[in-house]
Amino acid sequence: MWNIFYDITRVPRPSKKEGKIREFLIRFAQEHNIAYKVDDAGNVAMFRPAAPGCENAPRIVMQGHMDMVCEKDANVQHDFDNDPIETIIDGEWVRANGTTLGADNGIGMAAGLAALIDKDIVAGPIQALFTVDEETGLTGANALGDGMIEGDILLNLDSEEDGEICIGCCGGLGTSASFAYTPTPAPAFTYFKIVLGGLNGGHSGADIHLERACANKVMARFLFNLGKSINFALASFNGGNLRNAIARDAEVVIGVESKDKEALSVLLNQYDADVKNEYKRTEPNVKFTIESVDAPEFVIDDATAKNFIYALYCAPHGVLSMSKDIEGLVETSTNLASAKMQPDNTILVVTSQRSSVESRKFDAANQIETIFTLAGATVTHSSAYPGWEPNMNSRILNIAMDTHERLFGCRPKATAIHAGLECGLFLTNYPHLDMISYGPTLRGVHSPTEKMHIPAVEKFWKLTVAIIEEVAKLTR
Amino acid sequence: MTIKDLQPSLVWEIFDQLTKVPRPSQHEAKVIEFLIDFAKKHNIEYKKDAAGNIAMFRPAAPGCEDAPRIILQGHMDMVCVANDGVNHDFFNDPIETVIDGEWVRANGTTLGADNGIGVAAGLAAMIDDSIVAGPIQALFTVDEEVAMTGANNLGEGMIDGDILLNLDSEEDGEICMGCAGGVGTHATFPFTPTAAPEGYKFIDILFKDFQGGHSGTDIHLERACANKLVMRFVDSVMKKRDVKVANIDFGDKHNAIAVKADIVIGVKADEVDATLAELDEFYAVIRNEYKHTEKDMKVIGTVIDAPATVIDDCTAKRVVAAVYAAPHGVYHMSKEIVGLVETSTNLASVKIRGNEIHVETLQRSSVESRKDEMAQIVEAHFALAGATVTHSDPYPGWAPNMDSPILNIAADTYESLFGSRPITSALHAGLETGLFLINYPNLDMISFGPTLRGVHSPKEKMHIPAVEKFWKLLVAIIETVAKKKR
Repeated sequence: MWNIFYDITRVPRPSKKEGKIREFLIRFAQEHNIAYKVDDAGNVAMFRPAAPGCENAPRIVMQGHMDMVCEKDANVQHDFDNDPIETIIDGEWVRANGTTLGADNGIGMAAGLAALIDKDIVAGPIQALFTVDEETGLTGANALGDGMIEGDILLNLDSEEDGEICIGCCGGLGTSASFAYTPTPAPAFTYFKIVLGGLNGGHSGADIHLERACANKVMARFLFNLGKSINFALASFNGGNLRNAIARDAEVVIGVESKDKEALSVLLNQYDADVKNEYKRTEPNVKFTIESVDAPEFVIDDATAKNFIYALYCAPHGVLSMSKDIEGLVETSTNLASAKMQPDNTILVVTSQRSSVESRKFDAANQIETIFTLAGATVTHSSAYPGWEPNMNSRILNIAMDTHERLFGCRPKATAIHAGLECGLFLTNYPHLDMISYGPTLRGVHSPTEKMHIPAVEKFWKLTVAIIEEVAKLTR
Repeated sequence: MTIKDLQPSLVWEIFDQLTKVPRPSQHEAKVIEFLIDFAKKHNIEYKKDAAGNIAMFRPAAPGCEDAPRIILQGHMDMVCVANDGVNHDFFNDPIETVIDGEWVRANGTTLGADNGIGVAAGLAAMIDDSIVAGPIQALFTVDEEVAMTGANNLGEGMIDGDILLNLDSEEDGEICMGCAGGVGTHATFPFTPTAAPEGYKFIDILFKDFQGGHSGTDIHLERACANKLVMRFVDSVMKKRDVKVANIDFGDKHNAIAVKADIVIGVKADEVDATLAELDEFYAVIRNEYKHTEKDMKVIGTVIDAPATVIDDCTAKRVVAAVYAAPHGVYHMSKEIVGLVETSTNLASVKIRGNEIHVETLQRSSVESRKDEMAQIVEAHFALAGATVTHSDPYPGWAPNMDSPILNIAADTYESLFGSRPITSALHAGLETGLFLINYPNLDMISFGPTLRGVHSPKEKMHIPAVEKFWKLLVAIIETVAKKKR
């Protein structure tokens, strides 16, 4: 397997530029007389027939992605489109020389290819499936052609921790709400820009449980409170950024009557103090600033401004439910990602929902849609990708657990992640696949510090072979 | 053997006397009389305020006059629940206590150890001469269980102290040092009764046997909100066909998570079958979602006779949408105490009264500004749906303070007596202690008590060994404080 991994490191394979690695895979298949298929997206599947007597065993799919993240240190000269990765043995680890190593997911590919040609393994029908562009769009998994999966059990080899088996991931769905407003001539008020900053933000999947502040909500809450005591005009609202990032800043331009300037300042100070107290553990740097600005030409009409503020304030954000199968795992969440002025006199609110339970994902999106619809917005959903719901009774999970215990004396930990994985996508067209995801220990993935633990690779291979041979004894 | 034979004998004797005094919430006349008689009999100075609360004052032992002044506080009322078939007059009959192994319980009724044991301990501390105490007082409040009337209406001079020991907690080995404040938010949707249309058939949809629970202490369990689920279903049907809504009867008390929700909807006669089939599918979906927390929930659809009127379409749609997407559950977890809910809201009930649909919700938080936020979010939500929204009077929370001197004295004392450190906890529910802080913001407080189980039900029982530890701890705390200077 190490030899094959070495060969793979010699082949350039950035995401969306997998031509060379695909050629490598096809050559490998031809040299070893392995049946293979390539679909329109560029994914490659290879098929190994069963050992005699094992033809009726459940069919295993060994799956990894052929692309790698290309990052290098600033002072390193490396052309990812052409140069081989230079590997270095560093104690118990293998790393690269100032670049990403590509063990994510090269080691998965190597294991898949090795399993196809290792005659010592007594296997049922197995196939390998190598997908393109996992890293920047899950493109390969999204566009899998017909007949690229012919199996009952899928072993995804793209996880990064020896001793853990991943059995779930979340699906996602976007919900956007558009508020059309009537630009109204700005009243003769005094205008201010209020900026909320200093928040931590974070990844809307991996960090959503940390209870950091959502800048859009914090700002909406301020405006809601302001509106209870002071008449104000809302000229603009811009908060947050990317769909999968927790909003860490927001900025509004509002106008108040001159006599209310003082009251506005007092309210903002009080609010700033409340927010600092509430978020003292998770947002130590939260900060409001306010400055005078010139009057704008137009403001948002009162009715739309009020509906928009109310909806932004009460729309859900954060964790909606926690997994009861896996402790500490978020099951369903939603991110109030951004609210921004658009050039066509609308305000666009972008949210995204995640869940490892399909019905909960859609329910979360529907509730958000309901609220924004009550507020008079037009709501649309972006295409959903499915989640992979943890199933503690999965046959392959239990085989893997028992096998690991038999080989290494302890049971691995079942985990799941609150982010998207290819495994979820496979379920769209192959809803009955029984899947697990595992792999050797990697650290620093997606960066030039990426390294792979050598002893973990040996365990990884032993476990893989043992699982294949256990499954070969069963009948599908 | 009766409870009078248990140790510590002074406390059990007084508790035994108390069990014979009827004391339902808001009907405390007899127990007030009992307390006044007790004070008089033992020459204890006492005060009674307009609400009926009783304070008693014990002067310091010689040399301890400058010690911090302690208030021992409990509530004199009890929850009155009897098993089906048990004939008990809570206004007149004494509670029959039973010793059951290591536990004391009652015979088919609530025991009233909540908070009778706290009252008994307070009274015992007033008269036990063996305790070397600084200035201590007892404070016994009325109606903690229903409306916190006593704590809400404490008269002048009823608290004269620096440290308050609330004796109304229920777990040996735990010291409570925080609680949630609460506020109710009420949304009203007026509607126009409309004649039920021809050609429509009506279905009574009942969601029942949900786990429910206490809207504070159980809200983190991620049980289902039956009210939201019913409207989730109705909303999905409304997206497919015309639906009339005739009757809504969801949930019950504002501090209880709903255990059932009943709605009557109407669809065209030839769409009944499809609707019922969808109800079955929906039931399967929610059974999967709630497989860990709602094993008993049932969903039943029954075709019934058409009612005379239905709710007008416009209001029906808005109410369905509003309840479906309503805030419910945990909003923030405490960052001070792991596992403690900081802020939550309960969508308690939706009921029709006359020509109005009333939605009751209750928000709780141990952080005042977050309690306001939660109530505002609920308000904004129902306002968007066109309801008129009002808030009930809020009651304040008691924010945990890990540096509290009395907390540390109590924890150290517990450890030196029993060899292990107690757990500090806080309750995501209302306690009287939060209310005391309004007028006495500098009180240093903790809450503790012996182990009780099944409170507010005929299963209520008290752990006998825990009562002994409770009394030992209380005496030791009093004596430790007596050596200090305020």
